[in-house]
Amino acid sequence: MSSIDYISGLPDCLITHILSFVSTKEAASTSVLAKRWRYLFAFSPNLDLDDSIYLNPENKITSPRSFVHFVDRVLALHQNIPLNRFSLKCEDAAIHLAIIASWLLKVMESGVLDLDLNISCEMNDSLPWIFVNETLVRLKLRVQDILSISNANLPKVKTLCLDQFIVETCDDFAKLLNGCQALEETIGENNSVSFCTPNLVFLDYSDTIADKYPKVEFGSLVEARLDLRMTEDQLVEAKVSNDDIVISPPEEMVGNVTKFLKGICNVKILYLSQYTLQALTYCCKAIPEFNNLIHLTIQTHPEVSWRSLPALLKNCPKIETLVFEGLHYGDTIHTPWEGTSVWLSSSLVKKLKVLEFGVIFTYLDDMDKQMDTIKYFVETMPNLEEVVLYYGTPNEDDLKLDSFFFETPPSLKRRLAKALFFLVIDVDDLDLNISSEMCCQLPSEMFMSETMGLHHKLKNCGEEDKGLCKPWEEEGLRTCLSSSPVKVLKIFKFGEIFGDEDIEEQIKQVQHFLETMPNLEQLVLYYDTSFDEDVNEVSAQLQWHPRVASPKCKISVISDGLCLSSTVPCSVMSKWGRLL
Amino acid sequence: MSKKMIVLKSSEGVSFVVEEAVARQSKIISFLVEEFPDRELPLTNMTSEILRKTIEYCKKHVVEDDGGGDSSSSSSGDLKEWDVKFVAEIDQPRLMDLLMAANYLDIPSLLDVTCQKVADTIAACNDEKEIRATFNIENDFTEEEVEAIRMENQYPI
Repeated sequence: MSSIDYISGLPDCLITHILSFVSTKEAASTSVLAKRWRYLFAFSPNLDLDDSIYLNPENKITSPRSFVHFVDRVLALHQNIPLNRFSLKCEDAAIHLAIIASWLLKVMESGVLDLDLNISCEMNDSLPWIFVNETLVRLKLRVQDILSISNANLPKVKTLCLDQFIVETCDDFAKLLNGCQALEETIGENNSVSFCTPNLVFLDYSDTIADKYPKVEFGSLVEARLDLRMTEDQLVEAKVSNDDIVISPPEEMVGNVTKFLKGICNVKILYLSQYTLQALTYCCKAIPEFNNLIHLTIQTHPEVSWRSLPALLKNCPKIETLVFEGLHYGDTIHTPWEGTSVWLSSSLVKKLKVLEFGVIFTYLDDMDKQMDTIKYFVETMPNLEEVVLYYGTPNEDDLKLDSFFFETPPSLKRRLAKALFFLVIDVDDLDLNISSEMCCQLPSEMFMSETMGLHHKLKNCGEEDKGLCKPWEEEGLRTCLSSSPVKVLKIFKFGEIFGDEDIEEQIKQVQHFLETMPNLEQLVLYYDTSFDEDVNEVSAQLQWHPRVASPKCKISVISDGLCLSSTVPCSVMSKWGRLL
Repeated sequence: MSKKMIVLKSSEGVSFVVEEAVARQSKIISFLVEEFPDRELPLTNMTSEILRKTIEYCKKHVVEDDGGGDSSSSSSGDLKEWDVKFVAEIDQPRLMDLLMAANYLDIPSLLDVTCQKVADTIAACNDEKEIRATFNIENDFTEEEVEAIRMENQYPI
């Protein structure tokens, strides 16, 4: 055995390279070997700092302060040396975030490529800049606190590893993903998404399916809109062909969204995108029970089968309203409800709505099929009280739908007679939003043979209220008033009288809006009058109208000619809120 | 189809005939082959023993392009295992030489394998005395100086 010191003869860069393979703690122990080794440990391109050893109660010579000193010193020595990887594990919640932030600022300045943070202290939104960095290639985060992300720009990040990652809103998560344009490995092997939002009432979530959902807490959730998409890999694995017409059901699940769905299964109102429907087929073996669900909306697409739908509907025992966004079903071999007549014949669904009825995407998607589907629903569902088809046709003749309404067998006619049919047509895009919604709420003259009457009525309404409802302007007719998300309702030309209409009727209609629209926050009437008393009177009538569905709604009546406005004081409205 | 061979010459003047694909794992050799084709490449700072070891490593890690598909003879798991064995058999002076050779020839994977081995040896030591003994490092600090560094680092060693 020789007694030559080979290792100390290596160039500095090789010694620091060797030391980059051990933790910085171990590397630091080499600083007492000899003068040659004094500072080498701090020049390692990888810094791996872990405070757990300081927290050991048997360790008497050190305190958490020592860790802070140590990291400070290492970073001070490490100046102007390229940093490849920085890993920081801070279990001691007593280490103030400001200190950690000062370290991270230095590290980020040095152009670190790989950042691995495991921090236990409260974040208090204090590290927003870690999501804005031009050099970072890999980011791994494990934080105990809830993060809020205001801005994310990580153009080079290829691997994002989020382990125990809790964001305040899904929007934040989307921001983060949008900020990582180069992302190759979404969230790495720990692809896990947690939601800890017990106070959230409304969730609108759009994402690809995560590997894990360790924590899904939505204690107060009432309404959810889901757009869960399968990843490219999952689509390949599931062998989903372009038209998704696989005859046999999938044998093995390629992902798992069950836990996520369990977390939201208390919702009352649920919207599923076409992709979510697909994800349910391939990534959810056991669909959880949605025991509170009363209103379900399903977006359909000719390339997505309805295979998961029967299983989902079976698990919605309280469902009353079923809404289809389009009636697209591309399978030419099977009917969408094959083998589900048992469920349909015991279904409690009272209201069936089809938005975008009659819209045709492909040759597979023809009108006859949509008609057949509706007929099948009406034939088999015993509790249907109302069927609304939102039919976007400019052609009045289409509305007669002779073959459908008049050539049906007598048995079916009896059933049809039980269900109220509404056909809502697309007359004028601008006017449609309010007026048609209103019409479908009116109980009379809606039966099938009188669709023409409805049409005329619609036209009148259109001229009467020029509805401008900003938040859902584009969505048009999708929801009925009682589940309408409209927050701001403006009515122009209020009080303009045609023919035998009178102002009382218009007021009644406005009152009806207030009674039924639950999310209304602001109602503005542009009243075409030159009398102040008129404004005051209308304002008073609306203020003291007893059945306001949305008690927080602020009502303004604005008179065009005099620019006079009368606003219901908030205090008055909140009193009502308590009374209601 | 015959594979293109190149000749590497050690400091003792021993010639090694190596497939070009094997030798090209060294970025330096890759460069030299392009600059001076059909010439013997003298590696004057490498002994025959170290050069043989280096070639052994490169042969194992070569990925043949012409075989079609991934024709690397071993899976990555097997390869890792082989690497561990490969460095485990080498004594310390030769390990240092191999590490230097990997650095000189610019073969990053071999450099990492050898550095990892040295790092593992350091990590396996209980204290600095054991590290000094393992690597024959002479302590040129006084007791007081060692104590001062400890206070400075404030790291429980």
